[in-house]
Amino acid sequence: MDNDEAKFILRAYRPSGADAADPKFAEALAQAKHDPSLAHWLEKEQALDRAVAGKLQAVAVPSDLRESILVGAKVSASPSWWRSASFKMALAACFIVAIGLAFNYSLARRRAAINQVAQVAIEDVLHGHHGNRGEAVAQLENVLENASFHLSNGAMPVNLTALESNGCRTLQVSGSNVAEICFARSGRYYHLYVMDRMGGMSTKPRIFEHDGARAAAWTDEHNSYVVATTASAAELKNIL
Amino acid sequence: MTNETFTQLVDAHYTALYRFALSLTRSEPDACDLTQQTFYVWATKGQALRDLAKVKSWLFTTLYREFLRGRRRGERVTSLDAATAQGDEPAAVEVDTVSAMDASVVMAALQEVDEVFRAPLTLFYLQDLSYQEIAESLDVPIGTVMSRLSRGKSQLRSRLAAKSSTGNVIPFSEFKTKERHG
Repeated sequence: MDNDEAKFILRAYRPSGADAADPKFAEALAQAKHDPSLAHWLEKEQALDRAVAGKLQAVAVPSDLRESILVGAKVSASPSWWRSASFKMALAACFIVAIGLAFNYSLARRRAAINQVAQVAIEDVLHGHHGNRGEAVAQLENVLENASFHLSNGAMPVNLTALESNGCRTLQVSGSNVAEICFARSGRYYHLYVMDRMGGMSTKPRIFEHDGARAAAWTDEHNSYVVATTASAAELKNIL
Repeated sequence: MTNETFTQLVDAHYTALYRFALSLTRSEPDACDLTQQTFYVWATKGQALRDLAKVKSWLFTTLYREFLRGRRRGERVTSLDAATAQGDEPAAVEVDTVSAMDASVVMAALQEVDEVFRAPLTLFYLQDLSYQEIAESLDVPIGTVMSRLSRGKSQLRSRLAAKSSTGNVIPFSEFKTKERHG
């Protein structure tokens, strides 16, 4: 082993001495004992590492962080995730969509000979005009219907306040305002529900199923989301 | 998990996790969020961890993964090729110089290091994880950890040397936090 290789290894040697018994460092440490220039280098390297480590370990931590973690965990986290508010909301979303879609598809099946105009009308009820549809809603719909956009990638362009003030359909679920936007992908219809960010939810989507409908729930740094559909689980995952 | 056990877990690790989060996010509010999120994930999934001796490594791994997930699309990702090429020997900065620096200045210097080097470097300096645990947490080979530590130290010392030449200036965000105007 030459000194360059020894230095490469020893740069990973913790200045606390915690790695003293690690065989990975044995040969390099032994070399430093016999080579004064390497020993001098190691001494300076470790001294500087100790100084930097000491400073970083002294960086102030917000005084309320500990309490926030403990109280927030009690309020938000539950080992029984199926009791959580987020799961109830997703289930409610599934239920709402399932009831609405089931009724209309039953209608379509009963009227086998329905003409083209009636079919358009059913689709309009399912996916169209819920209240006034301002610019914020239209812009979001354009994004959601873009096949290359993945909903849970952390870049959802949503302004919840703008959506609600623009007349986007708003539900009340478990005491929270939830804005609802409908969109289509590859001929399948989806309903996106947007609400203020809920603590304790994962940034990775969780999939729920109920009565033939499915919902995915996740959160980002601003909002929490549920998207519900009667499309397949694979189709749902594909848009996430 | 009992409340007491969870509290002990928080007390044992939250400060180191916060400092790791701060080095990654470069934002105190985001670092707080990320730290809290990590413990929430533990509260919901951590019971699946059978070997409690690995809880520290689990927490740091989870925090790093949550950071990667939450990072916005389009944010510049530093490629190793694009990272500043440094010689094997880092810029000279003396121990006394670092010792005289404010901790927040040293953290600011660390936050200027390329992200790909910053994560292993922070874990190394927090001294909670060995190079093997760093490799597991970041899901990279051991050799890669050593390489990134080497290059990361080089960058950090360049930043420290630069800051020492411009004076011990406390970052503006820190100043705003401390000086509240009514």
